[in-house]
Amino acid sequence: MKEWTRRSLVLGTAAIAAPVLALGIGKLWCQTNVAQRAQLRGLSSLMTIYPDGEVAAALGERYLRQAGLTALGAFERLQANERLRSAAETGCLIKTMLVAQQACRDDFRSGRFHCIDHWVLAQTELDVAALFTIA
Amino acid sequence: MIVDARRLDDTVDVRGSIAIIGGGAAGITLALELAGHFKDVLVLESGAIDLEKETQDLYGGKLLGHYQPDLRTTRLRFLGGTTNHWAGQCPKLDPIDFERLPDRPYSGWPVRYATLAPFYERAYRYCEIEAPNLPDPDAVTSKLLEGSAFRLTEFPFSPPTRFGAHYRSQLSSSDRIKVYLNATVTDIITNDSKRAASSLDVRTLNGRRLTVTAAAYVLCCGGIENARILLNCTREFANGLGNQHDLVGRFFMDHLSTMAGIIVPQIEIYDLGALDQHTGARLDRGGLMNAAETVQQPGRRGCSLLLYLYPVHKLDDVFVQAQSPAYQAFNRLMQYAKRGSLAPAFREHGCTALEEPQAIARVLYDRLSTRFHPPPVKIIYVFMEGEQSPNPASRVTLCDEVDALGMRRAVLDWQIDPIDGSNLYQTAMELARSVGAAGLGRMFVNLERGEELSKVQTCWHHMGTTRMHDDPRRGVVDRHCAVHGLSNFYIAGSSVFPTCGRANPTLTIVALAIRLADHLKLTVKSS
Repeated sequence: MKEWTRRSLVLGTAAIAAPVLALGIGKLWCQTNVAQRAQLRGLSSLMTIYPDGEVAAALGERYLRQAGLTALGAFERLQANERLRSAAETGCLIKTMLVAQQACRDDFRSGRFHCIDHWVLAQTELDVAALFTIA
Repeated sequence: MIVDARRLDDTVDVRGSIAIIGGGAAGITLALELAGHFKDVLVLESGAIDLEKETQDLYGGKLLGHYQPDLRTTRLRFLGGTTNHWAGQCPKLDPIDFERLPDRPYSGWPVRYATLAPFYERAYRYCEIEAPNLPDPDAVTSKLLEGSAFRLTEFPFSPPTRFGAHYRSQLSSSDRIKVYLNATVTDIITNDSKRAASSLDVRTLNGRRLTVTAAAYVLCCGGIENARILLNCTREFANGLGNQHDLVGRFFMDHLSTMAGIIVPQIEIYDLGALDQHTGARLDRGGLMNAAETVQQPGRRGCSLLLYLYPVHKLDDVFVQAQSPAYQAFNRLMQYAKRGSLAPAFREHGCTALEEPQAIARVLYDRLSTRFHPPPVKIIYVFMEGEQSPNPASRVTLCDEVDALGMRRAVLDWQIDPIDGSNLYQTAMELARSVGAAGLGRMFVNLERGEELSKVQTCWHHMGTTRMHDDPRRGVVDRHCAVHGLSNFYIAGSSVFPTCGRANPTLTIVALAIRLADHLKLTVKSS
């Protein structure tokens, strides 16, 4: 019987460790993603401000590209808005809409707006559009 | 008295106290003001009572630089001048427009707003305007203005007064005013010392010649023609009269017109109230303009703007039909009918209107039904008129081609500083921001940063070519509108504006003419 060499031991360990590591990283990524998706579901009532998801996704993409931002950043900004998040979590569309409109007005007052394809839009509504790119 | 110079003897000598060259808003105002003091006021009008092709052709010229329509289109050469096709907007210049702004070269007037204010009050009468008040901001307007850089301004409208038609009977019945029609000034002669004008060479298209002598002369032929006439006077001055410092014709300005965008209301708006440019009273209508504080902001280099908001209640073809030639002709006839008179070219307008009676009926029905059951505003068109910065490279010169009377034709080279375009863009963005902040809706901005000038059009407001400045090296006329270096030769009209603000020029032209008349009453002895 052939003896185990140091080289074969290292290779064997690596052969076992690599898939385990890949599995671990994959699971971790899935956990984060699943968590995001779960949270996204919490913001889903907010996303109803756009009746057409495809249009919103296209707008969101242009916004992210033009402003050099990421969808995750947009998501985190929306999450950080306590009033917006709690309104969205109630699932009440009217309440969510009113709070979102107020957030947009605040954006305009504070200079947080962008001009996308000639439309001057508030950061909040653009952040919501950006969610469609990962939804 | 009104005389057709074409019917005079071959050569005629005419004498008077004051000779006014041009029978437009400035010339007629001056004549009527001066007639109370002088018994022999002369008005030399190049055109007739109505438009005549041969006379209008004297306006032909060449164009360079930013687009302007044919020079025969934008101006009218008959009694009443360009008021024969003006729209009647009569805002005043803003006090800030008279100030010299540190980051804006060549800006400011040698007089302050307070100097002109009393003459504005007198000018309203000539333009048939009752003293305007600032409109009360309604709920929508208040929302929009809250925390924005805009404010509501007085925006009175003249009917509009056609100075020729409106004041014709006064001019013809006056025994103190003598209007010579078809009398074109072709040269201005000075005395031996060249310090004063001594006479005018006047010609008609049928070969009559007049020599006009007066104690004082006032040139009132418009923003381009004033410069052209001075530049054509090369018999005694190689560079033209009053042009010893190469300033005549420079600093040509026009207001910069552009469609700024479209507002899509998010809330239901039925009436734009003080902002509405279509409904409501003709007088005392409101406009929006940049606040003075914004005008003075560093980096903006001073720019005042006027925004016109046109609400569209129905997104159907009514808006388009309202722009049709038939409806426009009908509208013109109605404007005159309301004043109890027949519109000039009544037959042509009538025929144009009859070509599409269904378009007129549709618009009228829509206007009527909208009045009783107003639907919410669907979209609001936003038009903007901005100030042009004084620019010495923007100028009127002469070409070698001559008109029927042997005068060299004008070349208009309209040059706009890119910073003016940038001001338009910033203002459109500021309006979009204000609309969003007020929760009124969202705005589609029609301008692109850096490309704004490609969408800028002329307002047909020709200004600045004989600018006012106390220093002869910086201006053609002094604060009293007297040409530097000439004791008895004056200029009236928008060509003396050193800074044009955002106000349509006619009211200021009339106010300045009244001010000049008061000055002449004090300084010129009756002949």
